Amino acid sequence: MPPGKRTIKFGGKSGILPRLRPIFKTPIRPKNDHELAEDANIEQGYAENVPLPKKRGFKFQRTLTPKPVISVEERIRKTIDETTPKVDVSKLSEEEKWKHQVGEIRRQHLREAYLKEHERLKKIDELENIKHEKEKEKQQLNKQHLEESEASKLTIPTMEDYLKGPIVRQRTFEEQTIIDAKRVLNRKMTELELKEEKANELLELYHASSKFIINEEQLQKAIIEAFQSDINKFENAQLSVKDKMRGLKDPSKELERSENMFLDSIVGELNGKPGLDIVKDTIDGQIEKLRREAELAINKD
Amino acid sequence: MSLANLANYSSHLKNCVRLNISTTSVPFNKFNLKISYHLYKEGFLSSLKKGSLNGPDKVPVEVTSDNIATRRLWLGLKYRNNNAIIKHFEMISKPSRKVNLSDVEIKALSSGINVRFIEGLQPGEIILVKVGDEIMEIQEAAKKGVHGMVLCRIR
Repeated sequence: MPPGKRTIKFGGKSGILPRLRPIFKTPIRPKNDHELAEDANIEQGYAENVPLPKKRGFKFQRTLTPKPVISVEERIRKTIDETTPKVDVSKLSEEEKWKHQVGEIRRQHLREAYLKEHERLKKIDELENIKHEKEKEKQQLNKQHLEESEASKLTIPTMEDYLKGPIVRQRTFEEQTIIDAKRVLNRKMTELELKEEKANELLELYHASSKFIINEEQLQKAIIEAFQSDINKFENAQLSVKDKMRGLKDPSKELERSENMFLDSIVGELNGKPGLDIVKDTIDGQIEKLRREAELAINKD
Repeated sequence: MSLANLANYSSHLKNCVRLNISTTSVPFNKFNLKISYHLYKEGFLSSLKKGSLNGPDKVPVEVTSDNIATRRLWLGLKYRNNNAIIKHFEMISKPSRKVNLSDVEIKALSSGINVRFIEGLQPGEIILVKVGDEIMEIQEAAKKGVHGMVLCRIR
């Protein structure tokens, strides 16, 4: 098969290699502001009211404890400089000399590896910083495009601000109180009107009850009256029945009725008998009081 | 906000424009105000005034709970050579078919690409989008990278 026909799998490596293990397992520098801000956004750990899990020989923490920062210089000092055996090489045997030399070379390699890795991480950090700054600039630019300038904020009418708040002014406490009072008054007035109407009807019924037949004699009298051959009365009654059936009303009677109604409403009476107001005043003792005052006034003169 | 109210608003404007009416009024509420403001900003309306049932206010009147029933929003309609500026006012979302688009879809629609059954944004046309409680033009929504319900298109 000609070369270049197929794509190389796994980047030319035989299979997928494991991830490279980091040379420094602990951080070599404290976190910068940008990293701290990113960390602050991550929500992790156990909440206050959540009990911690239990495991023998292990203590769970509520929040993640940060790994200690060990700088490269410190690491080199601790792992290489301080562990170098202080021996006089001239006093060592050939074999020991050889071992010492091997150890020296190993330490040298380790130091170089540390320093090289430090350089690499430094470069990555610098690149990251540049990237972050560029992103920040881009965001700033976007913000400038989206946000209105100070001049337009100050000059354009505040329609947006108007739309933010409620467009209807709510009633003040005093206005609300007045409206509530008015509503109560209205309700009470309708209630009073209804009650007065009822009382009027009751009074009317009371007055009408005087004509009710309540004993045998009255009944007898009424029967005789009803069957007496009083032609005039009979004809009148007949006429009125006919009229009623036709939907006509006796004009003279109608006139009399309306006359009575006017008279009643002027005097405050009910079918020629004391009306509700008079009854009320009598119960209150208002009429009695007026009469006495009038008498006193007359006697004075 | 109700889509039925928006449909009523649209029908009312279209009816008025058909009869070459110069000013008309719609109920005074926040939703109508927001939509009308967008139309005014984009140049579809000549004026936007607060008023009562009798006409626009000559002296500013405060909107209170007592007079809200008689408050109206007066819109000035625009014409050029006897042709209305609002030629087309079409609902995209309906009460029976609400169209919620993702930020990517909104960006596509605003750049003129058809999304589902919706034709891409054409020149001289606006599409209004409801994002949360706010109503914004689709270009603005695309810039902000938000998602929302597309309401209507006007040209």
